[in-house]
Amino acid sequence: MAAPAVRICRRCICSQASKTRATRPRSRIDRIVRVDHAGELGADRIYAGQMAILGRTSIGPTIQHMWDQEKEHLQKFEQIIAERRVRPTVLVPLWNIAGYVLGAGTALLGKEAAMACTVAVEEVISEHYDNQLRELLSSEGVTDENKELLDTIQKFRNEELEHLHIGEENDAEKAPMYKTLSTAIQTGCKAAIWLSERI
Amino acid sequence: MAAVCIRMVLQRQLGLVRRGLFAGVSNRPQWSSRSFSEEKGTSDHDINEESSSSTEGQEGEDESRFGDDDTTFFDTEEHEADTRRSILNAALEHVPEFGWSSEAIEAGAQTMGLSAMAEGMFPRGAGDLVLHFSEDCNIKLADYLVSQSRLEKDPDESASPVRKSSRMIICDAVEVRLKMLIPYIDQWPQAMGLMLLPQNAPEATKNVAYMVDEIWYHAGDTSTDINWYTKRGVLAGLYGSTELYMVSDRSPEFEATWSFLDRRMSDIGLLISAKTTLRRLVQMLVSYYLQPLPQCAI
Repeated sequence: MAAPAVRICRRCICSQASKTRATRPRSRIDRIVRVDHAGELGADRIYAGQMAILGRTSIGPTIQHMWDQEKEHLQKFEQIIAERRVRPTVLVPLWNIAGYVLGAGTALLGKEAAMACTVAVEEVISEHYDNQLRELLSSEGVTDENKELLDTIQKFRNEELEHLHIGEENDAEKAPMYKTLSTAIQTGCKAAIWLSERI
Repeated sequence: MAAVCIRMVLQRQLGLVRRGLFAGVSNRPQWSSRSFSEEKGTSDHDINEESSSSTEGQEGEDESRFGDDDTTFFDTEEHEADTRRSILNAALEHVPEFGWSSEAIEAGAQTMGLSAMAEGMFPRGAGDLVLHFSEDCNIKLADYLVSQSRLEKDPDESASPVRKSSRMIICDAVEVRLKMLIPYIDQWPQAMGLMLLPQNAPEATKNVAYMVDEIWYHAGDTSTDINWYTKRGVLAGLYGSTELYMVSDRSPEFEATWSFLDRRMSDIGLLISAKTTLRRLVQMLVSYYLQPLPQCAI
């Protein structure tokens, strides 16, 4: 009676120790880099979609300015992904298309709707960056390893907030069905963040 | 008095069991109880009695093991992992004799001076042995790749004056990894079967994923899109098919396998150039179709 019990207990204890050395325990940073890369890719595609529709109008240069900054962000995160050997999200092709469709779709509703889209998206993204900064600082503090990442996120957060203000200054709230539109976009963004962190 | 006697007997037996499991292993931790120093004098044949002693006085022994002593048991998790590794390393030498089996692990434990009962430390039996081996090979491969790329960065080293192409790095890495299987090639089909079992498959997949990621990283892959997945998938497929070819290869020095690998490598070479070709194509299409759009939309 007791002999099998001992064996089972011992096996349970032993299997706890069976961790592979090959796996890297940096899942938090991996998740953060993965979702940020996906987010910047989406943002880049949104502005690409807006530029395709509104590129030749008076608002064109403003969007181009924001797009250039997003391109820089995307490049930075691509570099971080390669350096830190983070697996990019599986949903990259989906965000690629969805971002473009969102940007072009809102731009077709007019310049105000495009700005409302910018405001909604940047609000979610800057909030998300803030949460990441808080998470990193509270769990690890500033270390040599994550200092660069912290600085990057902080800089990008500020630029996203700048885009938010640009959007607000350009009559975002005068868009048709502003409340509905921004709630829908923000819900979509949050769902995208949730998915990209995981897969 | 009787209580003291019983306590002494229990401690003695516990000491024997511990000796049976952990004797002969380097960096033995500081056990808290005195039984070790007391048992120092006991001769080696006591170890063989371990299995019989563990069945006697079972009840009391369980209590003391999971009662006051469990702190030491959990404190030594790291040590236990070391023990497991050294048992498995010793077991590898017996693989040609016993195949990938629990017997090989038992024989490995015995060469280390442990009881054959130590096989109970491996809940997946032979699966643990195979997974340990492939993980170990992956770490060796990673070390090799790191040393290779260091060699390349060093400008004074005239061994490789030109930077190796991705294709050469990958081909070289797969060949090095497959050569690690040669000592066990006759038993390898059995190991491949074990890795497909449901309880072993998740970790076996993880090992393969780790290996292909390592190879692509050192081959200078910086893709951040779906290419990341296709490249790793293709390389895993290439490795798997070459491995299958290798186990049935009877040519001297596995020449047929290496030429098979070389032929399969042309697939990877295609993939590396595919990204740039595809991007150029998409850019061309986009500029062709989207250029007139701004004028007609507004």
